[in-house]
This record gives sequence, structure tokens and C-alpha cells, in this order.
Amino acid sequence: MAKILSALYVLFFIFVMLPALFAQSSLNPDISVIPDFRMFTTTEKDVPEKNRINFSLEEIEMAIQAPLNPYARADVYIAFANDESAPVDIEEAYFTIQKGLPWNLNVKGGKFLVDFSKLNTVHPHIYPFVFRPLYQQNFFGEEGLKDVGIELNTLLPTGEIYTKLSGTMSAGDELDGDRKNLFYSSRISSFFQLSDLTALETGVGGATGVYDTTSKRFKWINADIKFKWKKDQYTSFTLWTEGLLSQFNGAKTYGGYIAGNYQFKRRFEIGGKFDLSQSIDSKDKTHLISGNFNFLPVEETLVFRLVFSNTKTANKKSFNTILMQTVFSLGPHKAHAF
Amino acid sequence: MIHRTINILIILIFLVSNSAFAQINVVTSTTDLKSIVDAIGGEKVKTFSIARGNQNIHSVEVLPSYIMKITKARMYVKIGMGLDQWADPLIEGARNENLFVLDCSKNITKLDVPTFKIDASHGDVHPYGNPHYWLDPNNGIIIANDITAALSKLSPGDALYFAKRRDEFAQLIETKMAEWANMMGQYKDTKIMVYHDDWRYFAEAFGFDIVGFVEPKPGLEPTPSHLYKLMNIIKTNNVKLIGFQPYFSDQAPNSLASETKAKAVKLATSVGCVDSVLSYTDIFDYNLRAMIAIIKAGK
Repeated sequence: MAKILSALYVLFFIFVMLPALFAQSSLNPDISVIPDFRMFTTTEKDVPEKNRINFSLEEIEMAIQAPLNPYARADVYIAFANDESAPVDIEEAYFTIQKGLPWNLNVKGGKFLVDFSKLNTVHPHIYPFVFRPLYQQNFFGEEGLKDVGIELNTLLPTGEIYTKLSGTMSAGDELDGDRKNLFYSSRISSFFQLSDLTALETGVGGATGVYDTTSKRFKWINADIKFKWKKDQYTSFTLWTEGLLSQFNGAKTYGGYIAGNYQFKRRFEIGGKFDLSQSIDSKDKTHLISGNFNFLPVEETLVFRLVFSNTKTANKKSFNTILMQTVFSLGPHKAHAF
Repeated sequence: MIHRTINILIILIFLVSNSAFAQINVVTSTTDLKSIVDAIGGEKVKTFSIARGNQNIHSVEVLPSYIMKITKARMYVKIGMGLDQWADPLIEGARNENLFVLDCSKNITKLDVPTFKIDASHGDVHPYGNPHYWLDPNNGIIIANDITAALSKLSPGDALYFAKRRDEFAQLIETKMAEWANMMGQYKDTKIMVYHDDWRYFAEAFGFDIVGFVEPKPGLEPTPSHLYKLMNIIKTNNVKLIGFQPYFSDQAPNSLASETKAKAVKLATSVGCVDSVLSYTDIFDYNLRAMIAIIKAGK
């Protein structure tokens, strides 16, 4: 059944989406296709990829976006992944009502990345690094915290400072194994323009849901900081750091990361990331140190990232991975939010 | 009773004076548009430009602090033609239902509108034509007309004030045009080279002949083979000037200049691009003086 479904999706992609991609007009939605191709080797024990050169078309993300009417817009992201169990995944499919509501409200409905952490709402191809932070993989899932539900958000009247408050109620299916225990989360974030060259965004989120086969609720608190210094068009430094505290079934666990990225030429960046994470039901720690060198020949149309990482899992010998990621994007390139 | 009457009078005076001096909050994409809005709106407007003059307006970061500026604005003035498409998420994020968005490109005669199917292999080509139209002062008058009409709609009581200032602005441009034409005199049709294809309207207005671009294609870094080709173009055409904006690297223009008799010069595409350019007309004063000085010296 999965094979038939994936074949249907591929046919849909070839005969419906590709012609639309090459015939973009003002009435068609914006369509982008972003493949993520990887070449890597690893010293990890007991995996078939050990000590050999491996190739992987990790994911092809397709984004379809357009206004629905003067008041609302829709965004759909479909991922064609290198995963036999789920070759096609609806990453996000949601509408947003942006106008006509009281109290500056926006309403989002459908499946979407939950506004609980700054990085969680960002699609991985925009990360300055390659691997999703370990703590987000361990606590949220490999594809991040996404769920089917509804989100309300508003801008708070905090003068010149941008402050957004959001609240989400969702099905919780991704966390509780489809048992319909609702997931609730909220986040407040503020943006500070420190000077012409520097900016800071900070956010705090809280969430509760039911994990896996237990009926017990977990409680999470997440904090995030993003700082950017941009000297000019070709020189900038960005610092991301986030951390989560979890309380579940009597156990208090945590995770977090800190990452820095320095653009020193128009086309070159270097970066590093340190991850440390437990998981929702285990105090075993995993840490990962990685360094990356990014080459962007023509902005984001084609991005090469060379990554070296060292991973240490509890009770296991550490292993190294060397990976070359190539992300290439077809379609309109829109400005990214801070 | 007397106290009550005085209180009512004070409130009425406050309300009348407040509305009389209430400024129209205007956010613009660029400093050039801000300068023209200031020229037309005078004390009746309060303006803010998203892009700084020394910033490459092709790639402005979408910062939430800009959204807050638009949240309180009555009008947003954009360049259009896909140049300031970063303004769209800012306008969308501001959730401001009272915002009037003015696209200043609507009445402009557009140059270099692609007649072929464009794609990314042509570089960062603008699908609706070359969007750097404010670099022709005649287009400055068209922009001023659109801004005058928009401000008059938002504040009909001040329409005469705006119209008067529009006439003064147009008169200034016309006087300056005669002055600039006089400056250009014998230097018309001089062959020049520029970094990026944003001088098309400027060249059309003042009679320069652009024979090459430092970028091999719009938005691309120069390659050694392209620079070699440019050296030959400079020598063959006796090019004396390679113009570039301060936000581009000066490495390639300087390298071309060192291998030829041409000189690399910093030019201003916007108000604030260099320190001495403080108003819309300063852009042309500064560029023409800098260019003519180099062309004269190279004779």
C-alpha cells in the first residue's frame, strides 16, 4: 500500500507539480522544490554505512504557498524522504487568517511546526548547520515538533519592541502514538534591535502533552536566544542557543545546544555547534560536537556544507561522521525572517 | 460652571491642535523614497526607511523591528518590480488593516523588460524590468506625483499643501536637470563600466554609454575569465571609469583599474550611500561630479 501511495505521489509530482513549477504565473501558487543530497561516511559501530562512502538523497521538500483571499493565505510543505516506512510526508499544510480578526489576532489551522521553540518553526534547509539539534530530535521527534491543530497568535502592545504571544492546541498524535491526548503549548518572544548592526531575539515556551503509551502528562519549558551581528552584506556572526527542561513520570531531564555561524566572505561561512541532550524518559546523555564549512556560490540557490561531527552516546564508544551536504533550490527565493 | 467651561475649552483646543499637527506616519522601502516623501509631505509626515542608504537593497533582512514600524504606519511606499519583495512579509506581518501600500513603479516607463523566458541561469534578472528607475531624475517627478496623490487621499485637508510642495520639488528637479545637462556637456556618450546593472536609467538620463558590468551576470561574483574580458573591453573602448557602490567589494574594480588606465570610483545609488549624499538631488550632484572629475583627469 505504501509503495502504491508513493508511486501516486511521484506521478502527481511529475505530471501536476513540475509543469506548474515551470509555468509560474500570478494566479498560480508559488512552488519551490528543495532537494537535500548527502555524501557521508561514519565510524559508528553496527551500522551498514560504517567506513564506506554513502550517498543519500535525504529529502526533497516541496513548498506550495499562496494567498487564499485578501484575509488568509495557505502554506503546504510536502517532504519526499529517503525513508521506506514513510516515503512521503505532509510536513505542513495550514491556512492562516491574517486580517479581519480582533486584537491583532492571527489564526493558523492544519498541520504545522509548533511555535514552541525558535528553531522548531524553521525548515532545516535554512539552518546554518546540518543536523537538527539532538534535544529536538530526542524530545520532539526526528522531524521536529509538528502536529495537527490550531494556533492563535497576537502582537503585544510593547511599543517599539516586537513581542509575539502564541498559543497552540493540537492533536498530540506525534507524541502519544495516535491516542488523541491533546497537546498544549505557548510561546512568548521579543525582538530587540540593539543597534544598526546587532539584533537579539529571545523566547520562552511552555508545553504539556501525553507521551507514548503512558497516560501521564509531561511538562516542558523551552528557552531560546538568537543574536546576530551583521557588519555588512558579506560579514556577519549569528549565535543560536536553546534549552529545554522536561518533567515526566517523576523524572526531570534536559537538553540544549549552542551554535555559532560566521560569514567571513560573500560566499563562505564557518560554524560550530555543541549539543547535549537527555531524553523524555531517560537520563542517559548524548553529546555531539560539530564543525561546518559552508560554501554558497550564488546565495541560497546552491549550498554546500562540509561537516565533521563527533557523537558520544551513553555506554557507547564515540563515533565520527564526515558529511558533505548539497541543498539546491528551484523556484522563487523569498526573504527569510530573522 | 466657569471651571467646567474652561475644562471643555482646554479639551477642545487640545483635540483641534492635536489633529492639526497629527502627522501621517509613512514607512518607505528606501532612503530615496523617504527623501521624496519628506520633500512632498514636509512637516505633515513622519517617515522611516527600512533599508539604509549604504545597504544593498536587493537583500534586506526581514527584521521584526521593521514590522513594528509598519504596524503604526498609514502608508507604505515601495519600489516594486520585485526589487523590494522583502517588504511583503513585513507588510503582512504588521497586521495593519489601515495601511495603504503605494507601488511607485506603476507609472514608470520600464526599461529592460525581458522579452525572453527568464530563469535563474540569467542570474538575478528582474522579471518586470530593471527596477532602479529612481536614478533618472525625471522618474523622481513621477514618484513625487504618485506620493502627492496618495498623501492627498489620506489627508484631503492638506492636498493644497502637498500640491504646492510637489510643484516646488518638480521645479527643483527641472532646474537641476538644466544644471546637470550643462555639467555633462562634452562628456555625453562617454563609455563607462559599472559593477551591477543598476545604472541603466541614470545612463539614459545623462547620456553615458555602459559598455560592461563587473558582475558576469546580475548578482554573481566576478570570475578571473570575466575580468580578463573586461580588461580588453576597457582597453578597446578607452573606458576611464569603473563605478561601484560602497557595499560591493572593491577588489575587482581596483584590480581592473590597476591593469588598465581606468579608475575605480565609489558611486551612490541611494541617499546615505555615501556620507555627503543627504537628499534625492544629492545623488545626482555627487555622482556627476565624481564621474566628470575622473573622466576629465583621464583626458
